[in-house]
Amino acid sequence: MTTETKTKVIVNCETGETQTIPLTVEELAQLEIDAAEYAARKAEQDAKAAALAAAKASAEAKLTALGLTPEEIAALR
Amino acid sequence: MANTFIKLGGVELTSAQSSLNFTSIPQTYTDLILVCSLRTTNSGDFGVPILRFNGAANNNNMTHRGLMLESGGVSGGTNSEGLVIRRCPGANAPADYFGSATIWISNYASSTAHKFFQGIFASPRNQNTGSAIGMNACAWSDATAISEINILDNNGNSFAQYSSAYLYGVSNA
Repeated sequence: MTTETKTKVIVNCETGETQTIPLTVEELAQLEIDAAEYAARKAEQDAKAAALAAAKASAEAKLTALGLTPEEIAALR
Repeated sequence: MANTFIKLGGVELTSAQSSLNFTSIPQTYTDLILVCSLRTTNSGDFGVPILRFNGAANNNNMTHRGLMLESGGVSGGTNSEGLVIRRCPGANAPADYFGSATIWISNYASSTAHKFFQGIFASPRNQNTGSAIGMNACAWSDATAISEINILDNNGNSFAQYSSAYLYGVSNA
């Protein structure tokens, strides 16, 4: 089994030279941290969005029960 | 109005890379403009490109605020990241789809002022249903002159082959 070597590209604006070099151990570790932090934030945002959608659906059901038409409910959005 | 617009460097990737980096940026311009065409290897629907400066290891001292329109509607956002681009296609998008972004970095060479940068971006396919467009304003609460720009994907993925970035120096003198 081969392990993918992660690399980065560097453009030196002074010399115009472009290099591709492997990530350091620290950079690889930071990638893992970044990914974990992003996943946690996204899960939190997704949960908020789901809660908001559920609240909207509940509110619309209650409005329907009060006799509002779908067009009237849409006009409130 | 700028009367100088000079390309300082650029690259189109010949293979996937974890980050695109511009180093040894001359300190002789008023502002910088970064033009990107990006796609990530993220197996999900989209990538989340960010900027860091001077080789910073993390998003410390970064904040952003922005607006984005995507399939779910318009959303605002604020967070502690240099999230100036915010969306580009991931591996689920058709192979030739890339997101574009233009970023303006003001007063980058100052060694006494915090840095502000803002950008507009468009991602032609997002969340499998449509495109995303938006604009973001970011701040880096650090007075150090910017000599290096690092473009990364905030969820740790790589940028795909044929992604590109070009850096320009702008002078108003």
